[in-house]
Amino acid sequence: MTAGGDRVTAGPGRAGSIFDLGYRGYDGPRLGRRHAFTTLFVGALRATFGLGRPGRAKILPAFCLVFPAIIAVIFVALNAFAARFGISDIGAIPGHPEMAGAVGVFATILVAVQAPELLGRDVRYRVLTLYFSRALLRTDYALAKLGALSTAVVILMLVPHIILTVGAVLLTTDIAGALGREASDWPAILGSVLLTAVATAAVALVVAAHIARRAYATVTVFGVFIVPQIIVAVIIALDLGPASHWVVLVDLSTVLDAANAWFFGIAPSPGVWPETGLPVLLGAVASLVIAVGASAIMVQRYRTIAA
Amino acid sequence: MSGQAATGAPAAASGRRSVILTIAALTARGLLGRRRSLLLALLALLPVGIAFLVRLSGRGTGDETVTTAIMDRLIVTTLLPIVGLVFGTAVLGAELEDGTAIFLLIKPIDRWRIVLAKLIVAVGLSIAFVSPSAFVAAAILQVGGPGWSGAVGAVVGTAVGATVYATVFFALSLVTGRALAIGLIYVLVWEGVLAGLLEGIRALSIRQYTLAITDAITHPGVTNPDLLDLPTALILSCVAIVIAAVIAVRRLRSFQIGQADD
Repeated sequence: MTAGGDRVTAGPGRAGSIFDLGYRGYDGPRLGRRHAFTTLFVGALRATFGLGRPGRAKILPAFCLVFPAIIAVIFVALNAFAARFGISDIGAIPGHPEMAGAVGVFATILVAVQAPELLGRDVRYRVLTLYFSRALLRTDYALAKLGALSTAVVILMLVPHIILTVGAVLLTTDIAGALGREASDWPAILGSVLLTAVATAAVALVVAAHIARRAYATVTVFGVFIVPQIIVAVIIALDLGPASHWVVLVDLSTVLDAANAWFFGIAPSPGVWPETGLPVLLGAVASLVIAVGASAIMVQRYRTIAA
Repeated sequence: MSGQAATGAPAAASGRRSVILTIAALTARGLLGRRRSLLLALLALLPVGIAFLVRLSGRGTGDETVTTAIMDRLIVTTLLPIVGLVFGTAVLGAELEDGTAIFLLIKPIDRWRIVLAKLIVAVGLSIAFVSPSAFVAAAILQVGGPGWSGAVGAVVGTAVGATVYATVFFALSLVTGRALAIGLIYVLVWEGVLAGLLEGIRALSIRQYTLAITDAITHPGVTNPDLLDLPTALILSCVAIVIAAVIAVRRLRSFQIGQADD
């Protein structure tokens, strides 16, 4: 009886309890809510990358981790070639600002496949009641899963940035100068990656929390990410007037691209957002609203879900 | 009739045919009437609705961006693979996942009959969900001029595409328990990203077959250098279907119950 937040109280005797069958009770240390939260977070994070699971569960996360890294290596190679031939100032070589667009599809695949993996089984095999009967609160469960998937996406997206930075620093003899230039990019990198990760993970988890069958949850997440993009593109191309431009805010990938542009202080990718004429700051705000809103829906869902 | 089918195959020839039909009918009944079928139907209606909106606004017809967005990105790149993926992996995959496939597999029914029955449902439903929608959307948008060539091209192209997608993903669902994830990667990365970078991949992309067939019928006599030519697309489609079907039969012949679980 150490932690204060325990709900299960082990009575000293068997008197007065109709369920007490006379088995020996547990009187060891109770690690409490915080420990339960950390354990669930770590477990979910490991599950996202397939650690502690059979080999075939590792294939997809490994794929989603390795491909962005390969893309980053290609970027470094391009920079190396450009530096060798003295054309490094033409500005067409992709760097940190372009990375989000290049690796975004892998973040989508990871959350589409792993969000249902993190939630579906607990609902389907009706073990949520076991979680919620212990020190863990329903909110804790939702937040631990959300935190784990967000962290996984952060790792996925930071690895290529780190490779790019290491490459840029090793490319020159002026290591201190290169470090300084890279360091000035990192606040934007961290902001963009964090916002993208939470928004992507939260939206995927909201879908996965409402669809118990993993296969269909995956397809639905995929649809939620892709379909609005196309519809928005059509509506913007039709040019129905300035009011219709606001429809772009339902398209997560375009909104995240605008947010990325705001963080790096560059123009958004050619296509939908520039045509709307909306400021990129709006993209950052919309991304934040989507991230917070989806997280709130996810937490609310687990407050009321039948365990 | 169902009793006759349940007792097994080695009866009369008519009994054998009814085995295939019975399995197909049961599978179709298990797939339709669920919430997900309703969602897929809504997704299938989406291109029609958008095409209608475009026509109403009076601006989009003939606009290359709008037509490409609806016909290519929405129907061929999104709707077609999603529908093929869902039905292809669900016709037998759903039974494997909840463990009832064993009741089908222990019966003395030839494996190719099971595969044929499941494929009829997967392909039939995929075509039924995509092709009418493609036809109506193309007709509303008047793809390829005021005639019917665009609509006919869309129907034929999506029908062939739906057949190949459903067959390939059905075979995949027998090879691995994570067919859906791998199918998504194929669609998103292989067809979506890599095929845009490496032109040789076009020959191994179902989406490219669909686009090539659609284009060949929509604009007869005009060769588009960015697409495969019609005979190549048709031959490769047939090759893909045959290989997938053969793999499915061979896999099911030596299938161990429980191995596709998870």
